[in-house]
Amino acid sequence: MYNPNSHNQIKVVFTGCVGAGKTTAITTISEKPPVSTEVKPSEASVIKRKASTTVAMDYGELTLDGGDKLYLYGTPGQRRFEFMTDILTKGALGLIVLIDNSHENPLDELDYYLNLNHRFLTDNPAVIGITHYDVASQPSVDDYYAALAERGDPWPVIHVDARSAMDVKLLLDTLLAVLEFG
Amino acid sequence: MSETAGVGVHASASALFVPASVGEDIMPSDPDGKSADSAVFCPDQGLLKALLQLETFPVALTANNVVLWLDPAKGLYFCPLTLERLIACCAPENLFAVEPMSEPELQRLVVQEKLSPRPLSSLVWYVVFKSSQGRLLQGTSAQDIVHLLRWPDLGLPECRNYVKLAAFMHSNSMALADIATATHIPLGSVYDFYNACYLTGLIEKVTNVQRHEKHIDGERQNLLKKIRNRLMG
Repeated sequence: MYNPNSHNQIKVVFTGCVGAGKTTAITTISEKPPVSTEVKPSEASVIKRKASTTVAMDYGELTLDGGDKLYLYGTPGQRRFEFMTDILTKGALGLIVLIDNSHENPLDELDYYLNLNHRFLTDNPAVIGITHYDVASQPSVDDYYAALAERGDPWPVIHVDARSAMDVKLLLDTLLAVLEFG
Repeated sequence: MSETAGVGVHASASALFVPASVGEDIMPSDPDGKSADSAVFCPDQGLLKALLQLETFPVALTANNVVLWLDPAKGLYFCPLTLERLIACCAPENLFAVEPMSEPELQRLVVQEKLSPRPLSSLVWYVVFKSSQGRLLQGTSAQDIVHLLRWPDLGLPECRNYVKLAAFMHSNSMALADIATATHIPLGSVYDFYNACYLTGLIEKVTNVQRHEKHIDGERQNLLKKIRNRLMG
């Protein structure tokens, strides 16, 4: 039985705007069909972008050697559920921030999610994954690094396809490297 | 005091560094070029030479049956081939014809051929990485103290194998030889990674070693290893 509030869980949290690919990323690598809480969205800005969206959390898992589990949580994208972020990140190893590059203001979204998780990121790392880069190549990766530099954040930025297991694993592998050496 | 290859971390063609003199031949890429070669790496041939000599206006680069279009001012390139395929088609001795073109001409062609823009810095990074062959860039010593200013594009082919090295070099300023020892990564691979990052303006050379000692207890270390094993499995 999963309990997202448990401090003892080995977990990584995926966060980011609606449509960035959090549910897809977790679905792509979870070894069990992930638990998703997708419903018709209620926020006007979200209705325009998606027919259904996560309201509580997404949840997937990977079994490690020795039977331990790595839990993968996805936060809801709608801002009225932002209170879930604190609950889900408690005790997490780190944060994967997914940003939809085709969003109206992707750099504002980046800013928003880094601010929202400011307390968590004081002691824990993040990796930024840019999705839908094939649809919109602006802002560029350089623009993201410039935005991070302005904030004084050292996090790596990778453009990824949330449907690619290799890409999602790269995000996690990078998070591990930052945990180890960052 | 520090020295970087480019004018900043936003590597565009105009920010690329060209070593002063010419030397060794660039051999075809060896994906497992792990051991350090005592020969020096001089990026003075083939596609790499053409890329490092770009000015700001758009150009078409052509050799044999390979053609690619570049917009150095915008830091973009266009090519119907994947990066791996493009490199495989380019022999080190290829002489690339450089044909200037206007911005509207390039735009017309991009639309006509349905080409997607790709970062020029990623192309240069990968060409240098594949050309280095375990040789250290001319003008650099294994004792030079270096620091990775910014992460390279980890999504590039093979770059994902260097995540650990990138994280280490991003957090520490150390001599290349010491980086290889500390990370247990073969010196030749450290050279390949360093060369690619240096020529795309991602590295600064500094005067003092700064070692960021991160204490991770055994249990945590073991956990990270287990997760990494699972991701690779």
